Amino acid sequence: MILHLLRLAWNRKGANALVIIEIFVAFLVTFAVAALGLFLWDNQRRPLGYQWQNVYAVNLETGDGRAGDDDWSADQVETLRRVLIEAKRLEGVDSTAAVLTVPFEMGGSTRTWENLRMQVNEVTDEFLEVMELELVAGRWFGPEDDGREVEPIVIDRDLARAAFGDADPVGQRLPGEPDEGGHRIVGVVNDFREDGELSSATNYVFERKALNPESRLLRKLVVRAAPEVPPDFEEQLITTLRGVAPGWSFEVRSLEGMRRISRNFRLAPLVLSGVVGLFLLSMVGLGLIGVLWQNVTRRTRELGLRRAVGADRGRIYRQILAELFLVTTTGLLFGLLVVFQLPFLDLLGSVSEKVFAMAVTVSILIMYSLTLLCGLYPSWLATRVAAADALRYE
Amino acid sequence: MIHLENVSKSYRTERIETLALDSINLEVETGEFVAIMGPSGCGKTTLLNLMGLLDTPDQGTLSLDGEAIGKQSDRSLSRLRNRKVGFIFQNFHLVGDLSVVDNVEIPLLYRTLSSRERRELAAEALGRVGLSSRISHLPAQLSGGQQQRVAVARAIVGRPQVLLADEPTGNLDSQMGDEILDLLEELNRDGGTVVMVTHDPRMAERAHRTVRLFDGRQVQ
Repeated sequence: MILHLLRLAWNRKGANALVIIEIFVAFLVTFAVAALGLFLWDNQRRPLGYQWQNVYAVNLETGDGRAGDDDWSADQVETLRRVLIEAKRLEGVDSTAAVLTVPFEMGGSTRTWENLRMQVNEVTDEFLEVMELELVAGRWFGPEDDGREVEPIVIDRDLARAAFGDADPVGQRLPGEPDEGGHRIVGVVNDFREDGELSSATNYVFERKALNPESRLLRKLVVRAAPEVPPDFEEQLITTLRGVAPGWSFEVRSLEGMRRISRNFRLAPLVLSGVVGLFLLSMVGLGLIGVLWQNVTRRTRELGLRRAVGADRGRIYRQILAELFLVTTTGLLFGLLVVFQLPFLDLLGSVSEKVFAMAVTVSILIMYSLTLLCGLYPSWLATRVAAADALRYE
Repeated sequence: MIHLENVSKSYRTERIETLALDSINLEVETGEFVAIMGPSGCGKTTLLNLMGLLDTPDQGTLSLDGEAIGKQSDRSLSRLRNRKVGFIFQNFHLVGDLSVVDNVEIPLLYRTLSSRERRELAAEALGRVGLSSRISHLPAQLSGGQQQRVAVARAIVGRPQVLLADEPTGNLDSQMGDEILDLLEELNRDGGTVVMVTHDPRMAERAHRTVRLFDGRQVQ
C-alpha cells in the first residue's frame, strides 16, 4: 500500500506542490522559533554564577566633565574610596565594590586573543563578596596583590575549559596574551554570565582594580544589602553618597529591576516570533484543511471506486492520512535539507548541537501534529463517500 | 449465486419518496450471463448496486453466494465486495494519476498480498484483456475501448465470483463495444457469472437471459 501511495503522491506532485511548499516554509519558521525558545530555555538551566538578589547598582557622575576620561585625579580616587566606605556603613548594607560593568547592563567590554573571545570586567577586591561568586579553584584578588608586577586575573570556568581544557589554569597566562600585558590567572570562579540567565555561556575575565590615580575610571558601584531593607533604602543610599561627594550625582537601580528589563529584552524576540509563527501555522493549518477538503471533494469518484472494490471506511481514512503524511514528509525533507546546512556552514552561533537537535525534533513533531490535526476532518469526510452515489456522478 | 426475494428500495428526500425498486424477485445462477434492460430511471443501476452490496434493500432478502446479506458491518460488506464481486462501469472510473497496472492492482490492495504478488496478478489480468503492452501507460493515453478493458482487468484481477457491469459499452462505439462483450462472454465461458445492465438490445441478445424492468418493477 505504501508503494501505491508513493506512486500516487509522485504522480500528483504538481497538485501537491502547494502543500509541500506551505509545509516547507512553516517548518522553517517553526524551527527558528523552536531553536530560539530552546536556546533560551537551555541557557536558563545553566548556573548564573552570582546572586543578584538584594544587590543595587549605582551609576555615578563626577560632575566635572571628566566622567568619560580614563584617568582620575587623586582627589577623585579618594572620594570614590570614601563613597565605598560610607556606603558600606549605611544600615542594611553588607558590602560594596566598584566595577566597570554591572550585571544585566547589556554592555561591557570584550577582547579576543587567539580566536578566544572573552568578556572583561574590572572590579575591586570586594566584588566576590558583593556578588557572592563561587570560587572553584585558586583564590580571589586581595591586598596581597598590591604592587605586583604581574596583574592578577580571575577567569570563569567557561574560559578555563576553552583555554586550558582539563589542565589547571591557576598560575598560567591566557593563551595569546601580548607579552607586555602581564596578567596571571590566580583563580577560577563558576561560569559567570553577566547578561543574565537567558544569555549564552561566555568566557569571562575579572581584572583587579586598585583605587589609585593611575587607575582607569570605575563609574559604577554594586552594593549588597540585607534581605529586609526599608522601602526608602535607595533614597537613603543616595543621600549618604551625596553627603560624601556633594558634587557628584548618583543613580541607584536594583539588579532585580535590571534583570527584569534584561529578560524582557531577550524574551521579546521569542514572543514576537512566536506570535508570527503561530499566526503562520494557523494560516497553514486552515490552508491545509481547505486543500484537503477540496482534494476529497475532487476525488469523490476515486474514493467511491475504492469503496466499491473493497476498501472499508477505516482504510479510506488511513489512506487520506497516509497521503498527507507523505506530502508532509516531503515538505519536511526539503526543510531539513536547508536546516542541516546551518551546522555545516557553522551558522549555529551560540546554539549548541543539543539545542539544534531538539529544535529539529520539536519542529518535526509540531508539523506532523498540525497536519494530522488538519487531516482529521477531511479524512472523516472521505469515509462518508457512498460508493453508489459517487460512481453515479460524471 | 445471487438471490433476491421481494426486494424493494426507495430513496427519500425531504419532500418526496421515490420507489426505485418494488418487490423484485430474481435468481442468478452460477455461470449465468444475465442482462438487465429497461428505460432510464427504471431501477437498473439500483438493482445492480444492491447485487454488488453497494447499497442495502429497504425490504426483502438478498443473498450472495449463499450468504444472506443483512446488517453486516461496513468492514464485512467491504470484504465481501472485495472477494466476490467485480465491477465494470460505463465511465470506466479509472484513477487518472495511476498507471494501467496500478489501476488494476487497486482491489488487491485490500487483501493480504505482497507487492510482487499484486504485480503478477495485475499483469496476468492485463494479459487476459490483451493490454500487456500498455502496462505503464496512464489511462489518458489509451482509447476508450482500451480503458474499458483496463476496467475489466481490474474487475477480474481478484478472481471474483460475479461480474457486475453497468452499461459497459455505453461510452464506446459499436466495434469497441463488441470487443468488450466478446471479453465478457469469454469470462463467462470460463465459468464467471456476469450480470450486465444495458440499453442496447443487440448487446442483451448475447446474454443467456434478459430481465426487464419498468418503473422499478420486474416485467419479464
